[in-house]
Order: sequence, then C-alpha cells, then structure tokens
Amino acid sequence: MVRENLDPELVKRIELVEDPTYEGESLNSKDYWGLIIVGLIIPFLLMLWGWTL
Amino acid sequence: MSDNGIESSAMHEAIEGTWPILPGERTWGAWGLTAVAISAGVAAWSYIIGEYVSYYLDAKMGTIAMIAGSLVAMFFVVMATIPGSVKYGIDTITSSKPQFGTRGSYFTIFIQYASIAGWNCMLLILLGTATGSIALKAGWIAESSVPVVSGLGSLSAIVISWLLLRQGAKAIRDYSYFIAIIVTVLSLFILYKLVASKGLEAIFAAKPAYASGDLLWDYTIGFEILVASVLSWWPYMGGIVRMVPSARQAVWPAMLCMGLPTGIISLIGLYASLATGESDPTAWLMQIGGIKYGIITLLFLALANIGTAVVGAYVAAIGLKQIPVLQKKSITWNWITLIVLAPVAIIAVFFPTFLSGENSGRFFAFLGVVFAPVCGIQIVDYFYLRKQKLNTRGLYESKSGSAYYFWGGINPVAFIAVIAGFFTYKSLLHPYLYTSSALFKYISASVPALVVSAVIYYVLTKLFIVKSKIGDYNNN
Repeated sequence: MVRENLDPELVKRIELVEDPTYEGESLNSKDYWGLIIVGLIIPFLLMLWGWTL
Repeated sequence: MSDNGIESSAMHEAIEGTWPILPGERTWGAWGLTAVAISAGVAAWSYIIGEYVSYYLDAKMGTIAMIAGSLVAMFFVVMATIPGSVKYGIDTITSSKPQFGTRGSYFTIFIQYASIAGWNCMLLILLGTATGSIALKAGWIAESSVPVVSGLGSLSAIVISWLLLRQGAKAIRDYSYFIAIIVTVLSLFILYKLVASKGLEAIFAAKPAYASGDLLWDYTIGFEILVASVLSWWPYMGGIVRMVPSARQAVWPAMLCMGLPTGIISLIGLYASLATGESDPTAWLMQIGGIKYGIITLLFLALANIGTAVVGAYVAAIGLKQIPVLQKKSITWNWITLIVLAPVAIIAVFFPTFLSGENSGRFFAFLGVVFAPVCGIQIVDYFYLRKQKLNTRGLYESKSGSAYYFWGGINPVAFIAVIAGFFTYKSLLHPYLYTSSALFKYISASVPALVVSAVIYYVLTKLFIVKSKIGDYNNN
C-alpha cells in the first residue's frame, strides 16, 4: 500500500480517530434490533393493518 | 492549541471541511441533533409530497402508507450513513470513497449537490411564491407585481440562509433549537385549523383524484412516494451526524425526528389536498382566518424552509470541499457556501417554475432511483464486506496504490451495482410516468432496487475486487 504525504495535522487527527478508546459509544445489538423493529417490522405490520381496514 | 494538541485551525478544517471530527469536538449531542433534525425535517416540501399521495389514496390509507414509507426509508438511510460517519467523524461524501473510489466519489458529490440544490430551489421558491400570494390576497400589491415580489421573497430567503450559513456548525445547532420549537407548534396549529375547519369526517371521506382503480397499486405508490422522498436524506445525514459524539446518540433523533416528521408533516399536505384541493396552506388558511393566518403561515414557511435549506447547504458545502480546486486556502467557507446557494438564486429569479408541476415528479423519481442503490451498496460494504472497519488514512489519500484507489480512482463494481439498481427500479416503476410492471404493487420499487444493488455489489466485490487485492478488503 502506497503512503502519501498528508498534512501532519490531518495525520494526527487520523491517529486519534483510529484509537478505539477515543471513539464514541457505538451501536449494540439491542440498538440494531430496535432499528429493525421501528424501521422494518412496524411499517410492515402497519401496511398490513392498513390494507385490512 | 486545543485539547489533544490539535490546532484550532485543524478543528476549523474538520468542522467546515472534510477532515475527521474528533468526539471531543462534536458539540451537537442528542438534543442538538434532535433540534437540527426537526429543523431540517419539517419543511414545506412535505406538502408537495402529501399532495402527490392524495392523487392516489384517501386519508386513511394515505396516512398509513406515508408513515410506513418514511420509517422504512429512514431505516436504510440511518444504516447506510450513521455507523460509519459517527465512528470516524466523516461526512457523507468521504464515507462513500470506500465504495466508489477516490475519483468515483465525485459521483456522490454530484448527486448530493444536485439533490440538495433541487430541494433548496423547491423550498426557497415556494417561500417566495407564498410571499407573493399572501401579499396579493392581503391587497398589498397588484397582480402584476406578484412575480417581482415572489422573486424578491425567494432572494431574501437565500440571502438570510447564506448569512446564517456563514456562522458555521455551532450557529446552525443554536438557531435550530428555536426553529424546531416554532415549526413544531406552527405545524400542529395548521393541522388543527385544517381539521377544525373541514372536519375529520370530510377529510376521511374525500376521494383521491387520480386513483388507478387498483387499490393495491395505489397503496404501494403512496408508500413508494414516501420511500423515494425520505431516501433523499442520505446526502444530508453524514454531514450532520458527524457532529454527534456517538452513534447511539445519533440514530433515534435521525430516525424519529428527521424521517418521521417528513411523513407526519406530509399528512397536512395529504389532508389539505383531499379536503380543499390545495396542499399549500397559504391557499386555504387565508380563506379561514384572513390575513392574520396568512402571516402565521408565512412565518411557518420561512422558518421551516430556511431551516432546512441552511442544513442542506451546510452539508453540500462540506461535500464540495472534496473537489481539489475548492480545497485551496483562498476559497473560504463564505465562498463555498455562496457556490452552493448561487444556482438556487439564479433558478429562483430566472426559472421560478423549473421545479413545479411535472418536473417536481421527475425530481422525486431521480431521488428514489439514485439513493436507493447507493444506500444498499453502503450498507453491504460497511457491515458485510468491511466488518465496520475503514482505513481512515485511505479516505484522504488519492494517488495510485492508495487504499480506495481501485482502478484509476474508480470502483467499477459500485457503478455496475448502481446501474443494476436503476434498471431494477425502472423495470418495476417508470420513474416519472408511473407506468409499472405487474410485480410493482406487491414489492414496490425503491426497496427492491436497494436490495438488488446490495446483492450485486457484494457478489461482484467477492468475485473480482477481493481477489484482485484492491480496495483494502483484504485487511478486514
């Protein structure tokens, strides 16, 4: 892999971003399930319910 | 110097540019994002979307199809953009380089710029038109002066947007708190007035004007209109959520305050269109309450549309900073924001009907056709091929041999997948003539296009790109 010369301030920033302890809290499986329920399952059930009304 | 030895100029370069924003510099938080999301999500375009749905569905089925469509589309936008953008503090365009390549990402700059410029034209011209219309109905101007007043109204909105935009991300968050509260109250007031004056029974008894005769087709097209429209939050999302410290703080405000309001505010357009034949509240609110209500509506339109236009212009400006010629120190933030808003001003003054009537339908079609495949590609790439890990240095390198250079800076697989998604969409539903295949009413168009693009991207990447040892897939 070729390494280009990047701005030293950008390089410093990239190193900090890649430090896992410096990352914000990421999504866990509960969050993903919450998203799937709100974003896929509820709309699907809503559409079914709307059709039967 | 600021924390961690990071120069304040570097922080400036990150927040008003494309460098990664470090968690400590992300000042929006969940409430800040909620305010920005409502400020951006509540806009008068929703009336146009609601009006489109009212052509095919009554209030009952329209309500359900619109809420369902907005949630589904926002789910895909959230999954495509938030995990990567928040983890690395990067904007939408930078996060598209691992899929499209260092030069291929110019495609995403184009679609981001085109969609945001289109929406901003629609919003700010609509605001100008409403100004002219209210001034005429109030008897302040003669009919012959309406085009001039409308043009001046649009131009004033563009200038105000630019002045707000010049102040940067923190200012956008601060005035979004104010805009979010006012537009929420005003939109509830408009909905209340509509229901109180026309009656729920009349609204729910009204029949759609252009129903096809096939109720399932009408139901699916109502859903599809919302999916295609809400997918157009894709270009906005990365630039906004990277200002939030963690993905957990970002997903629910984005999901519920950006996607859902588009559906809920569109209901006003749906109900108004069914009950009065007019989705624009300036047309029917003045009949109910005279000039007083006209001014309230204008205040709502001004705050809602300018709020959305500013957020859009902010993320488009960050996207444009990816173009090398615009990265020069001499091109300041003021110039970039001017470049974003200038075409809107030109269209508002010289071609004010550019995005009205049939053209607005074509514009919605463009959004669904383009953003569905892009979302599918990003989701499958980030979660299944790269296992949620990007080469951050590679995002900023552009020469041959760099992580995301692929072939000549372009990943052909991403473009093949986009084209496959486009033809999937087109084979199911003609983007603006709305002629469709027999399958469309069962599976819609944007979601299958997204799935086809994702599958093709995954298969071709595994078959060709991973084996060629390019695109940095072998490091995951």
